[in-house]
Amino acid sequence: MSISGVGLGFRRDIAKQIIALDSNRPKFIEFAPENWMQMGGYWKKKLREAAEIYPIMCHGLSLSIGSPEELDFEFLKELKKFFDEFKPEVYSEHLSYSKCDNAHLYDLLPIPFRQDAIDHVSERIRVVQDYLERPLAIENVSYYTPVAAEMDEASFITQVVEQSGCNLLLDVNNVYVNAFNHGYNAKEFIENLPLDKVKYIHMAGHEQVSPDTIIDTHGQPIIDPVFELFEWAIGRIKPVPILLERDFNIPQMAELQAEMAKLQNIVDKVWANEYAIEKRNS
Amino acid sequence: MLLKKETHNIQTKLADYCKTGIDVTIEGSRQDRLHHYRRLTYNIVKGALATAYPIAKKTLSENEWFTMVDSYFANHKMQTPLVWKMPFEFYEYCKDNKYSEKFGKPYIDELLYFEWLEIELHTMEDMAIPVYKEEGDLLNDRIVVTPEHELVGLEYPIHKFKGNDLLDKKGNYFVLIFRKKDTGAIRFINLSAFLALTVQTIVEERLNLADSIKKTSEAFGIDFNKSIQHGLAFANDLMAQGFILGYEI
Ligand SMILES: [Fe+2]
Repeated sequence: MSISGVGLGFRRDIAKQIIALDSNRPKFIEFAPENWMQMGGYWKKKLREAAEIYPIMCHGLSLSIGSPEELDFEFLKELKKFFDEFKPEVYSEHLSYSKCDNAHLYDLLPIPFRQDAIDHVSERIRVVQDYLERPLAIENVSYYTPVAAEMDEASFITQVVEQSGCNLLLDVNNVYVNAFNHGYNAKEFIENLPLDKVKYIHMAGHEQVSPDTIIDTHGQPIIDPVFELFEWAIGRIKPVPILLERDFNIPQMAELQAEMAKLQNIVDKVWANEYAIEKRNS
Repeated sequence: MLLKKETHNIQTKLADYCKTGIDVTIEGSRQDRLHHYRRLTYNIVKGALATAYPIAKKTLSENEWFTMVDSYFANHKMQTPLVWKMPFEFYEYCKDNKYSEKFGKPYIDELLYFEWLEIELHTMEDMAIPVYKEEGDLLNDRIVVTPEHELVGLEYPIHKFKGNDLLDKKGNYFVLIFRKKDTGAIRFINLSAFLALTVQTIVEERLNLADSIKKTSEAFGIDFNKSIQHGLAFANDLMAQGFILGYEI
């Protein structure tokens, strides 16, 4: 992996600023291909300018790997074309479904944690990886209620990763949100995941909407307990890129840079040895 | 299919609940938290449509707007994986379901279409521009125009008037909408029927300006010598505004 360090989500609201940054730049940018595909004009120009400066990660929205129906090969074809141009280092998607019975919903619904769903999703991941000729990293998502679950979430994720041979995008904030919402132990949960498969990490803020419910909004700064969980978690993982996700209530760039710096400090501290080894080897 | 029918049905139940908001019991779920999914999905669609159609939303009553939005979300199967393209399906849905008749506001379809066109022309993929030269004879050389454009004919002048003021203005209106090559910005130019036909013959029949004005003058029964000066001034303006890029080589 050639990308390391902390990156930032590339959104229209801050596109110009990210392109113009001359110091404290993110190490890479991440965007949803769906928000930039089949475009031209002003926005495509901005994306190309950004791609000249930053390495790229793509984090998809509409693949809907957990859909009960057939994969959309027309979409995959477009995606492949897009990747040919922008060459993302990692393509990740959510372990959820956002399309059902031939209708997109554009948000992440929880897949029932069941064996037949594992078989179904794993098969779909294999097809996608074969078609795109690149590995897929799937992300653990926030969910607000289990749906007809026959096993716990960690077992579900682990089996999908093992059966499909895909990679894992560990969203530390999502683990925190789910642990809070469903009353389980976040560290135990992380320990039960196939951590050797983690190729990418997401960090974000959230919003508590009631005494027992947190919604994963990406609209607030990261809270301290999530930073702590992050520090603990990365001590168990080989160095991978880290993304700061911020989709709403986007603050001044300086505030985002400070948040990235805080993440970078933790990363440098925990992975100092690994980084030294990597450097020596290269 | 490795997925069991039963699991598929459970997934369908949750998706249908998101679309309609009609209470549902889903096995092994927390009923008190299901509403978050309805709210989150609905907000995305509601927000994307409000952003795409600010004028239509303001022109219609709140009740009318949300009748359309709710019905669309509940009944239409959104096809595009790209959220930015989704509002086009809303326009088609509203037209197919004749909301303009239902609300006695016959201009709704055109208003939605017009707002969509601005997004589409601004965002759509770049089209190939033929090689052209910047110097030439505006009257006699064949003209090259910016390819991302649309010549729109309207029954209601939705670009000039608002709401009920439109009702007694039914007629024939023409607007040229195009993307500027250098900045990507969208420009609107009002056209008379005469100028609209002139543009159309230039673009579609690839006539030079003189022949185009000649043909249009004949169609309108106007003396060519009277219309040529007007047409030339108009073409100069189109060039200054960036619609005409130059001349064929
Ligand atoms: Fe994430």
